[in-house]
Amino acid sequence: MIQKETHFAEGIIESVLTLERAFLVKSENEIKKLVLTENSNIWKGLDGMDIDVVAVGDHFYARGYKQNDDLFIENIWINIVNVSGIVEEVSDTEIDIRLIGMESRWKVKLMKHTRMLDSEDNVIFSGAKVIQKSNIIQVFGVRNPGSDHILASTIFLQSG
Amino acid sequence: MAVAHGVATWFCCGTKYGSSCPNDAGKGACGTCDNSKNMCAWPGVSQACLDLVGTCSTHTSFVRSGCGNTIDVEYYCDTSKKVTATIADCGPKVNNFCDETGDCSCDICKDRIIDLTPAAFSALAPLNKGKITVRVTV
Repeated sequence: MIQKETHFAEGIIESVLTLERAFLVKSENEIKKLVLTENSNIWKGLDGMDIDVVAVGDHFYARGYKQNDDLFIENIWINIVNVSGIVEEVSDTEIDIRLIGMESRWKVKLMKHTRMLDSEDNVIFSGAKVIQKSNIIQVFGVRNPGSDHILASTIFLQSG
Repeated sequence: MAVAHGVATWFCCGTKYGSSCPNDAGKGACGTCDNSKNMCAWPGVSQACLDLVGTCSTHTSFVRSGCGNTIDVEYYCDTSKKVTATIADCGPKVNNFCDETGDCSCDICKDRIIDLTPAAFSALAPLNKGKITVRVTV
């Protein structure tokens, strides 16, 4: 019997079963397999991605309906990160940030699909030109395993 | 019991699963934070935290409530979405996000108020939405 309440899981993709449209996973949430349905949404930088963008070793957060050790996916987010940082360098294609409260520095890559929003959620059409050193930005995007690069999906410009 | 409104986002407490977290070994200020559980970072977890996160000029004061206490969080744009989150960390850094608004019209919802774990946030809205407007009951 599938539960009505959705269940959350985090882990690592261990195998991609393309024909079965499922993933075998390592997770502490009593989940061993993630199963895609016709209503599943895969996010990896963008919504609506196909199974072939998911690779062994990818990190996931997922929410769906649990049945035994399987999770029937409603949404799965692959390698998603959310960080806030102080801008140290900025160019047309890349922003260097120092994470707030930490010493680590990450590079934020601007993509064709990157959305930039101001603190009131208005779209910034002028791109990275509006961002300056010492601005605080919050970045959502994809961080591939072992990388210090974020492929930005959304950037919120908070303050100067 | 006190009610407050503001903007929520999500954070990674720490994970042994690698790429999603800037602080892989973290467990939060309470030592209990777990991405997979409905938990939160709350400025009022301690006086030291309140001093650290700062305030915004328009912000209501944060009710003091310590580690292990719970906060009811309701998505302001869809009040059918609710979650009860256990306090497990100090945050968000409120004074970095002054005058920020959320994702639906709400005159009293300015400024960052709470950070949720991925489990808690995704019970209210997709993680890739980033930040949402919430009402919290402490």
